[in-house]
Amino acid sequence: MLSVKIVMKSINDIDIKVQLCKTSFEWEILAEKYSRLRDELETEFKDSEMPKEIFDALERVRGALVQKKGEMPPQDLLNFFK
Amino acid sequence: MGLIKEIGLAVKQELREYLVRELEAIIKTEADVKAFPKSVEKPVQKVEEVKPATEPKAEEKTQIKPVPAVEEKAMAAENSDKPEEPKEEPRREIARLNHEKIEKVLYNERPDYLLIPVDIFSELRQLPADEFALYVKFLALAQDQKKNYGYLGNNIRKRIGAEEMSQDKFREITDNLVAYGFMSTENITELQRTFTLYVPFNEEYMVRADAPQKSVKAEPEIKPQPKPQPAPKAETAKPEPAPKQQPAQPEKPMQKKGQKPDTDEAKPGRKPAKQAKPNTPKENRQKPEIPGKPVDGMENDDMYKSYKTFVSLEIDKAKMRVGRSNFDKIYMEAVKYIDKKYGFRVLSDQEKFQEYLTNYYISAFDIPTFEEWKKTKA
Repeated sequence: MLSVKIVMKSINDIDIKVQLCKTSFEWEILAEKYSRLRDELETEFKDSEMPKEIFDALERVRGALVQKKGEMPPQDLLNFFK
Repeated sequence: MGLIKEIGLAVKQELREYLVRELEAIIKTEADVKAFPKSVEKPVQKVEEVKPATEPKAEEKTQIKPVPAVEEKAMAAENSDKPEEPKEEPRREIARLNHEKIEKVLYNERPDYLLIPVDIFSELRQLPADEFALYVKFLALAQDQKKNYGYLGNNIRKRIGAEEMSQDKFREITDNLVAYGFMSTENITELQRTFTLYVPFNEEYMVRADAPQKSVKAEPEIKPQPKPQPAPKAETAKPEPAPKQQPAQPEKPMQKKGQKPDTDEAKPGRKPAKQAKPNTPKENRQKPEIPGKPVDGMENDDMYKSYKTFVSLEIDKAKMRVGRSNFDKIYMEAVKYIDKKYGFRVLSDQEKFQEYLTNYYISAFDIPTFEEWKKTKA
């Protein structure tokens, strides 16, 4: 059984790191971490409802990650057009 | 008598001037000596100590001796500098660990795991920590970009997450990797270098870049050749927020062409990649193409290449038209839109994100879709 406190701490850790993140490389690592955590939680709460507190925190971090991605220099599309 | 007297006066005058000059020189040297730091004073004091013994030649000594003092200082400074240069350790000799041929390869698809055969790993283990880390980073990059070669510059440092490493250090480590036989580099110009990473060849995932690229080229041909599906305006013209979706679900149907969906899906419990692979291309062929996405294996390949160039230029033009800050805002909107519509995971999938981003730009900047563009060309 997961402890809500520990989960919340993990989510908040990612949140803080997102605020400090400066490069795309860091962002990708955090996004991966977030996705993994989200997957684990979804598996954990497959049969029951996810606590609102956790769900809200996950959404908040997701929002922060998306915002951060948008603030970073626009993606270079050069490779795409090769 | 008058003449002798004048000669006497002239000699006196000369002597006076001579003495004044001497005194001035002495005063000047003393002032210089005081101005020097203590460490330099000593040799000058020694000079002065010598002076009384050879008084008549005082002028010569005072004028000449301070110079060595300064020289000594300069010499000392030089000496303190010099050792630094030789301290740059002569490059240690490195025994080659890997004797396999380094060749350029292309990945057919991204493996779900980092492929390092055990026998290679036993050689890799012998590398120093920095070299080992950089090799693994390069290997991960090679799998990500689906080729084991590219330019070796600042951009690559950023891409592998080694931007904090100094340029010199990076160069040194790559040179060491070359010496160990895990990488080869080539100088294109003075400033540009390319690299080819040693990657253990795996027929299942790779083809040789130099060989006729059967599997890479053939893949698009196998595909049913759908009519290129341009971005339908109705779907993408207005990036209106899509209805809220469950975050984990939306991106699943988007996976195609055997792409690795996300690294976090490579969990220990998952089936090995080999088993999962054969299904993916089939599934993908059935899936609808993304509007505006360059479609592989099109009938009219040249035409499509021209279209891609056209889109690229149009985006560049639009960027200049709207200005940097507005373009940044549009980018931000695009990121939010892609997140809402296709799910969060797409944001960290470089290839898909670029697809959707291009699609978004096509809509946002009213760039003609492929069909429209083709009509104008015809």
